[in-house]
Amino acid sequence: MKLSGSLADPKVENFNRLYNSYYSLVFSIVFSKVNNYHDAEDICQEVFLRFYGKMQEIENPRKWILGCLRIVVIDFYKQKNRNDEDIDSLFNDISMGYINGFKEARVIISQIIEEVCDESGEEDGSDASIFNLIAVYRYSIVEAARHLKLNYKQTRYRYNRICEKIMSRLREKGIKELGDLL
Amino acid sequence: MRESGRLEKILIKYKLALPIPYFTRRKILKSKRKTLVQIIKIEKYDSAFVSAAVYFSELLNRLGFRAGLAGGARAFAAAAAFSIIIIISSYLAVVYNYNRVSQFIVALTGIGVQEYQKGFVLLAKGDAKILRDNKELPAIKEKYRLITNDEIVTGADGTMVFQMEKKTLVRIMPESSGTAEIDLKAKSIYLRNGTVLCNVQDLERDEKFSVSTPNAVVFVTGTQFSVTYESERTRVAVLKGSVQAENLKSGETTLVDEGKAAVIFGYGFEMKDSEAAEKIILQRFGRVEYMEHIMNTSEREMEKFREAVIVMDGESEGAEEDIKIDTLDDIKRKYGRLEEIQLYNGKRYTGAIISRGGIYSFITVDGIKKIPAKDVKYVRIIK
Repeated sequence: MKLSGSLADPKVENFNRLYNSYYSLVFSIVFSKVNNYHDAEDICQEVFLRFYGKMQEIENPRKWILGCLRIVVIDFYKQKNRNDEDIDSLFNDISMGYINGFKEARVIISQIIEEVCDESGEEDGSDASIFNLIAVYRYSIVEAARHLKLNYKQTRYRYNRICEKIMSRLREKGIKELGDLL
Repeated sequence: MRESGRLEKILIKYKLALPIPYFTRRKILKSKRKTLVQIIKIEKYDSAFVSAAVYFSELLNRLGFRAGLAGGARAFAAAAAFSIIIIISSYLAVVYNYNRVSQFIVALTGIGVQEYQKGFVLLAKGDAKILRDNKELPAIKEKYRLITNDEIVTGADGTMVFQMEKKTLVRIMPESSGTAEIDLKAKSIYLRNGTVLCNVQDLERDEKFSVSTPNAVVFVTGTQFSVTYESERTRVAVLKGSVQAENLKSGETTLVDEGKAAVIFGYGFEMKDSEAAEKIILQRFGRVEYMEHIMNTSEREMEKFREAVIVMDGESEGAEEDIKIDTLDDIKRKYGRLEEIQLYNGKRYTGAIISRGGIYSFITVDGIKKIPAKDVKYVRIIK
């Protein structure tokens, strides 16, 4: 069939694969910052539209999408005539905030998670998405699997694997006793 | 504790976990699907097609198949083709009763097995037709499926035998213009005019089969009987069991026992003995067997059935003539009454009516006369 043949175009297939890996993560990031479902949806649509247009030139989809996200949010709220300071405050790195004197530990943990996610090696980046959805945005494993179109066992295995990597990296950074953090 | 559990606790403690509410998590899935369609359709794909491809791709993934958009599109195309086949086949099965198609659908989907097995024509002979939504159905033949509200019309030389659920066999009699509206769900027949023979064999204790006419309702729980309606009179004759007849004008009911007949007219009833011819015809009809698995019945078996009914009709006609009549007293003795029939053309006969319908069979000392009902001016009982 001609139409289904067109959907088998490598560009569309590749986009679909990356879209499945990142959409829920991007939405969750935006929603946790703007706390408005409809705004988050519009922003996500714009991010992935831009991604679709430039996909063939992009080497690291995860970094590109997260970078683009900030620009799109700023454009979106500028169009809505929102105060510039408010927009910037949305992207103040949460790990840099001074909460209960944990600043140093928060910076270390955030950096390690970011490093491990960047290195996670999976071409489609779904390991990073699995970790963020489950550990950060508190999806259940079943939900994460459904959002990423993976099966339960696969998701659980990959989640445990990335958690082990992060924990061993924390140990490498000199935190000998993880109990210290707790 | 597993490493993942420890890490989750650390993230919560350091406020690095940012839980998304449950309902939002659910809505994200919908948003994901919608946004994907918006983006893909930019490439000038049809948005309904892309939506379907996305939906089916998700469905396949949920079922454990790795399927991209193209896989989803192919699954959608297959499902659409399958649905079209089912819809067209169902239409053909319902309207034209193409039995093989019907069997195929039932076998394939299991849908409508019960409904499907409810009413079937066993024999249609002469001028007999089925009206569905006031339109005549073409080429009625054996195994034709009947549905509720079908109207069966037989002409002077037409007859139809059909079966309903609960081992109920019904015959719209030949030589009558009978119209019956069947209601398979309520197990009832509405007789506008003419004669029906019924053989109800297998009703549950609390179930009832009924035959209604414009002025009466006959309820049965398992019996062999006939109902005739003409000239605003309903005649019920019972061969086996008993029936309860209700006069709709007065609301009165009466029980008609084995071997008896009741005529319902005006506000009352008249109780009589069943006529010999009525008994013979009902006895013959009692030999017709209900077909349990009609769709699996071979053509040869159906042919046997047709022949049996034709033979039965021949015997019934012969039976009328077998009754030896020499005098009016013989008639009175055999039929319990004498009647005078007056025709519009001035002719007058004395004897006893042995069957009614579009054509009256009237026994006289000179033999059986067959008179079209429209020619009869009145019938008077001679005391």
